[in-house]
Amino acid sequence: MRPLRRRQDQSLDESGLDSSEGTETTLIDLDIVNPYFRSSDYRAALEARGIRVIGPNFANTNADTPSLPPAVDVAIARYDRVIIDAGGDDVGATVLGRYSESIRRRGYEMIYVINMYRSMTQTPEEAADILHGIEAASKLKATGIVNNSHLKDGTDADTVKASLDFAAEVSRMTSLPPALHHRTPGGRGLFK
Amino acid sequence: MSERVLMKGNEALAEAAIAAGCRHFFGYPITPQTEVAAYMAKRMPKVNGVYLQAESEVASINMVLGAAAAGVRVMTSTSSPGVSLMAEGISYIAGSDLPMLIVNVQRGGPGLGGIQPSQADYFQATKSTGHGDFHMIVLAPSTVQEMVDLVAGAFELGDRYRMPTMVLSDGMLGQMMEPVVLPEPTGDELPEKPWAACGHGGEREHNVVNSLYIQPHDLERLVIERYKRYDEIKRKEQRAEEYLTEDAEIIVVAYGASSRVSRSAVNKAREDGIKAGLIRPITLWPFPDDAIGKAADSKKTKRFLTVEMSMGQMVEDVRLAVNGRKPVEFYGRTGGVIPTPKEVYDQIVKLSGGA
Repeated sequence: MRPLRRRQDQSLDESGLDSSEGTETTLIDLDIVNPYFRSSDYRAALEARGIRVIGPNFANTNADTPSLPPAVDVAIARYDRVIIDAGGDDVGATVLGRYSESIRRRGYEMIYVINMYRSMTQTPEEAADILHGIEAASKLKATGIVNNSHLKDGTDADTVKASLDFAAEVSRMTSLPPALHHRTPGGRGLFK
Repeated sequence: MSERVLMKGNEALAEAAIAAGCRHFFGYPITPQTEVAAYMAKRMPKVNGVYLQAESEVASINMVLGAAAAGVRVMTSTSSPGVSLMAEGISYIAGSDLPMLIVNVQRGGPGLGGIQPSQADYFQATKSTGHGDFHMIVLAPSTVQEMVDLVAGAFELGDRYRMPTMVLSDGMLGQMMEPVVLPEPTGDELPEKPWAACGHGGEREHNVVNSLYIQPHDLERLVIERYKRYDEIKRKEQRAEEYLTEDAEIIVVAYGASSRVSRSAVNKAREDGIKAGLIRPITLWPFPDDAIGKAADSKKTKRFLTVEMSMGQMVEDVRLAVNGRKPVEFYGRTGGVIPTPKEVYDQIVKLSGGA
């Protein structure tokens, strides 16, 4: 059993997410619907890599409420590289709508992460449908797709290969370019 | 489409209920079970079902009572404080001999407690879910796949014995994702319920669903009849998984999330030459007295170790089942803290006479 901490560090290492090369990176955790498994849980590991984390007020305290800190406005308006982690469906994306005007003003990329092994997005039609809900709720348009089709520890190269046609079809239906595909565990991966 | 899908425990449980023919869900959001309700809100309209968010847990359990009285497959889900609020309605449902499914995705308590996983509602689930003489059948999954597999059985047991059933989950199992294979949907062949108050067009006598009996002898007769059913359930429906118990000297007893931790600890102990095994109760009521009793009778068994995410609740049932034949020790964490495999392993080493 690999310790969670090691997996988390490995994931962050592989992501290449840091504030190197003089570009300050800020991660905004807007997943305020579900207080389990959110970016704020990894604040210490992220900050150790020089990434500024802005999360819900009082996250992981007794006063943990779905509230939005004013620092979000400041970050969107002024900071260099800003990554927003929003919830995974139209409900989770609703909070993005609150910031849609300022996000549009500064310019953005909105990546739609898809997994054909999730029960609600098993067909391209279902995946495209959920994207429409997310775009309506967030008042923003997606600009790319990441094919993150996997079965957690049950993922192998075939698992990912079997999802390529699915990803291509979602791309065709939504007119969004595929940004990259899921990397197989320990492998060189299927990045495009 | 893939045969296996990646689902959160809460989502998998909801989908399994739909596959089992449940078309009525009444509930109220509370962490960490909210995904059950959110999933039902999206899925029920697609299968011509009813999803209704009530104004409280008290209202939702009484809506469940009404739907169950009409004979449909119905469920609710909540988390620990929500079950406390539902206690009166659950007692009425048991007193009316109605089948329904209630899911408790446990969180730390007492009071509002916390939102992290806990197993501190064992007493509430198995002994005191509401007032009066009654029981529910309580099933405890330990994986997301088992969440799926137990749901259909929970509905079937409830229908067979005309009583409420509970799936006792926790925040860890509800929130974690695992690949699962979903069952084929049940057709329209749900069991007949000739007792249901569902309208009859004047072609039969009225069916009356009720839990009020003013005459004490009538009430006593009904409760005794119900307890005869409970005795039958205790004889026929006990379920437990036994893992490496055949030659085990130290037997860990744990259910749900803590059984996953305990299994890792047992495996590590085996690697180090310690004869450890695991009994994992799947039915918490009826408690698997037979499996525990058989292990207590074994000459090889030296001690039991009960591991829970509580201050020690199931351990009382383990001690009753062991009945003084062998020592029963306890290790637990509470308040939303999950014991680590290392902590449980250390307890096993200590009991085996190691350092």
